[in-house]
Amino acid sequence: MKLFYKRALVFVILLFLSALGIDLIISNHLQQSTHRIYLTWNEMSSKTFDYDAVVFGSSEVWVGCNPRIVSDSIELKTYDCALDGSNFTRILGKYKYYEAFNQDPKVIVIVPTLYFLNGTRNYEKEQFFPLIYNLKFRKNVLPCCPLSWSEKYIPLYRYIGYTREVRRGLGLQSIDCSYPLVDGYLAQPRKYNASEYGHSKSFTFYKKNEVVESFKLFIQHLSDKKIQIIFAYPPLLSNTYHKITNVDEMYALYQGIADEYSIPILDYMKDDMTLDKNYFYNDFHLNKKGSIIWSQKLGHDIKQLLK
Amino acid sequence: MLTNSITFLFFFLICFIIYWLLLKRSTYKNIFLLVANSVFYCFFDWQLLLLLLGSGTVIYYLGKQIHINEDSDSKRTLYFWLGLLFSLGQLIYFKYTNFFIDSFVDFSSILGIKVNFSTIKILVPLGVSYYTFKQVSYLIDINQETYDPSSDTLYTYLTYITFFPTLLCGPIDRPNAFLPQLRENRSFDYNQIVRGFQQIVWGLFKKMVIADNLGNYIDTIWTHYTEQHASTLVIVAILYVFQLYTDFSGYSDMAIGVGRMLGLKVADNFNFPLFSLNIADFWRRWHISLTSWVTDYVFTPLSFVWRKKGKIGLIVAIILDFLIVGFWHGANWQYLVYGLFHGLLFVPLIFLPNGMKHREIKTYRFGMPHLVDILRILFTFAIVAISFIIFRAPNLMDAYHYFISMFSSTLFETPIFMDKYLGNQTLFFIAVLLIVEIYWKKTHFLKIPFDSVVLRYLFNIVFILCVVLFSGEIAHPIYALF
Repeated sequence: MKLFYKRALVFVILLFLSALGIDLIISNHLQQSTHRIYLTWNEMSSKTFDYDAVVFGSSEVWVGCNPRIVSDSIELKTYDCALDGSNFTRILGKYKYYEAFNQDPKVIVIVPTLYFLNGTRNYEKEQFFPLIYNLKFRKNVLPCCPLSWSEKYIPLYRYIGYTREVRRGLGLQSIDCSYPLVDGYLAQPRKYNASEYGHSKSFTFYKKNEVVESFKLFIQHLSDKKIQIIFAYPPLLSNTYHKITNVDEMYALYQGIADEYSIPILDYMKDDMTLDKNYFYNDFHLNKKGSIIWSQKLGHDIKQLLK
Repeated sequence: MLTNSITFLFFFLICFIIYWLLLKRSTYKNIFLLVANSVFYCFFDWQLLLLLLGSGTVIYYLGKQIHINEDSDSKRTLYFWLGLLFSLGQLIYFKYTNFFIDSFVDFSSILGIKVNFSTIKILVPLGVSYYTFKQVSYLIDINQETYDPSSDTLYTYLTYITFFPTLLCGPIDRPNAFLPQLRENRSFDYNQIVRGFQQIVWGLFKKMVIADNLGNYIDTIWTHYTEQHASTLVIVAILYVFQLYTDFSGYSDMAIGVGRMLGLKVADNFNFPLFSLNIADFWRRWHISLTSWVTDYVFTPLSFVWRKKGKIGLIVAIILDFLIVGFWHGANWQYLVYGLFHGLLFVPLIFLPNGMKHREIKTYRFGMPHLVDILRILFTFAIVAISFIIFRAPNLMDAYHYFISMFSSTLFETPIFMDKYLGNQTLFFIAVLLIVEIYWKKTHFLKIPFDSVVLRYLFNIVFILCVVLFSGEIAHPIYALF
């Protein structure tokens, strides 16, 4: 039995070291890639990253706010720091990562949506896999975007089932860059497709109390740092807006926070552009054409506020 | 809790440590195994565990009664038939009731008679096909006096029928081979444990890296098979042979490997079936524990009864044999047709001189098989691939349409390899499988070149890493459905 223990131990050590080596190769390769899910993380931690205004939000911002157009209007270099498929908890993780590597921006635009204060979900969590060896990421982002113990400490474990990432990381598959990001923004040159959300009869604003509390602390934190905060409700198709069962509750909540910290609110939920489906690719998201219009309006309105 | 899951890994690790470190006597080991089997089954359904243990207890006592009354033919026969009725009755009830109701209604409507039967909701106990066959073989062996149950205790018998590695997908162990092992004292055998571990790794590789990846691709094509080129359908039919083989044999290897690590020899289930020379050879190598079961308990008695009818008797016995094999897979007409198809494939072999006789592949220099044998292997593979269309199809009509679609004008179009579902690495791993199997077929299963410890480490590490890196979406083993 002693022989078994000895050899089993040697085997486990060798297996661990081999897994660690391959994990480092995959993670390193993925981290250097320009694929959309890794790019913003890489950009934020690079030394050349230097922005004065940052827009935080979910997919509505990611595909809706062209930061270059906003930059031109407000004359501040702007970055789209949205996180697709995410609510505030994960977005907070992204902010903390930003904060860990960069100086504070002058302006932060927060784009709250129906599901912004809902509980977390780990959508596209593979974007965090290559960052696991980055201590600042572990310290700042992981508490907001939880990975399991095994994913954090057992090499390669987190890549199980993510064959595409493994193949990309090992150079067996090219990393698809057909959707290039521009300062964190992803243009969607698509036409409206009702089937994505169109069949839903109603939408509800959700909130979780602990997330609301966390959001308030975040605002307090930004306020303490004297960062100019702006809330901006994104445009959503007019028909969709009328399907929201408790929109007043949403307005009341954000208005309350805005009043407390003297935050201006820009509301595009009932903007004229929401009447035209040509600006949207689904009920909640602007297409490229719509994003140009909204970015121009947003830039213009922010400029007025900053005067 | 599937054998290819992380939960199982921890479950087995705990079992392994307790089994070898804390329990010395075989009695304690058996009782512990029974508890482990029960815990394993509870992960699926604790209520059905009571049914499994209850039915096992009934068969155990009926088996004892058959043995005690060996001098009284009438009593022995009574207990034997009671046991048979009970074990097969539960299999028929759980698995086939709705099939019979459906078929009766369909048949009546064909005759123009309207009947008001509807199917009933029945929860099928997991592994019922496997443990029922174990129970039946226990009863038959005792009745034929080829097995002596006098040393069996209730818990050893229950450990046998519920043995967790084989509970979901077999292999179907025979009482003669398995139960005596539970009576013996098991000592820690380093070589067996290493061999068992290697077999688990190999099984995991087959199941998770090849079968599960192929499954994604094959399922997608099957869902839209009417829109596919004939060439794609042919490729999918070929790949399905690999999927079914690696899925089932991979799971069997894991079960045998786990058994080996617990010091128990589990029945073999596969013997390189991809290199079969004809259909008889294929069935000697494919799902061995089921085919040998049906051969021993159905075919042999039938061919003995019909021995005077010559080749006709033999043909009828074989076809009946394969109808049972087919029907064992599920309550569905397509499985019956699948069985019938294979039974009929034996007919030409019966009339050929030495057609049914087992022989090894003829090889020439460098171990290369004779050209005729290569053609035979390819021909057998093609027949098996066609039969598996019946097996894989949702129903008989789809099987027929799929088969017809394979011969359309698009046969020479470029087949669709959906990289999203079937990475090129899967084809590479199929090649690895074939090379390794050719080597093992020439030497022996799980042999490592030069018997080197370093190469054994390397083998296990490389294949574990392949499992981690390239496993497809974890899917239930196909044979767990039966």
